[in-house]
Amino acid sequence: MTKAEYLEQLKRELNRLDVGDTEEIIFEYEQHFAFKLADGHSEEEIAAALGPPAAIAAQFAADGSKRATGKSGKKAVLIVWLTLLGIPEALLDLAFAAFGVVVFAASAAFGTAGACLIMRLNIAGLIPSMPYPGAILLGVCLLALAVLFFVLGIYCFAFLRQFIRASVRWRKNVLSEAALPLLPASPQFSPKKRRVLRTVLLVSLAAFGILFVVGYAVLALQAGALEFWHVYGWFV
Amino acid sequence: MNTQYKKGVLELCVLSLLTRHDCYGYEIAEYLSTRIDIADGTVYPILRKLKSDGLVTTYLSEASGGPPRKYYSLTKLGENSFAAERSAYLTFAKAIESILEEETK
Repeated sequence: MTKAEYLEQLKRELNRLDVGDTEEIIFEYEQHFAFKLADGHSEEEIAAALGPPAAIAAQFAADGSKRATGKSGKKAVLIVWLTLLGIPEALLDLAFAAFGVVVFAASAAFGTAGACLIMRLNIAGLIPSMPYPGAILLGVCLLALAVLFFVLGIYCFAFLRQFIRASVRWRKNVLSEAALPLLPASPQFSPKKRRVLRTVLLVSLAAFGILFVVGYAVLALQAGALEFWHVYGWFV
Repeated sequence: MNTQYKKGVLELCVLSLLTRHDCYGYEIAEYLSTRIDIADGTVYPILRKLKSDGLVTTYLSEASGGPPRKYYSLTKLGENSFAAERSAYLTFAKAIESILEEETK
């Protein structure tokens, strides 16, 4: 008998004898096959050593613990509660996802504005005019800000993903007896990825800060005024 | 060998193994089937019975690079039950042994 045939027969016999939790029982036998196969036994050997499925099923049935009927009502109530709880949770997830999209959009906008400043492109007159050395500094500064927001966006979605996974795991645990370890709510990056993300975040933050100050200073010096935007007529 | 009286003793063997450390199902099945002549498959119904009697509990633990394993662990009730059953069995076994030894003399 092959593994599939054995498990199929066992399942049929268990159902015939009305033994509850067939999935859980089948899971044990699947694991047994997996371990034995890893040890180099053939499926036929393993099935023979397990004993006839009908005899095994009879043993499960004889040991009592019939399908628990009282439990199903309790489970239905639990499902209703979990669903009700799921509604605000889903809305929260949705709001958070929207926030993440905004962060990415901001990143794209900063990136475009920075590139325009550097390349002296003035699309539809949206970019305020300013002399070139200062414009390059502020352009690079905006690019750093774009990178910063991009990384923040990645964190946002990693957090959202982990939050959903943790919540799903928790629900599974509540509904079934088998308790899987709970997942942490914060995103779990590999050490390497975490290092890279942190470095990029810090470097872009530092670049943004320094370039902003330097760019401001250069523009103010060139214009000869602290509030240089009046000199270039930005807000008229 | 008669399987009828082997079954009751098997429960005791499982509990004994679990007093040492938590085990997953296959570990228990292997341990018993290498020592006692039983079909591999008969261990799992015993585990399930012990669980429904409240002598053991189960938890899933994720093994590195594999499906989660279902571990069996002795409950307080299981520990107490094992201690009592163990001494009862040993006394019983000694009595049987002495009777059987006398017979052959």
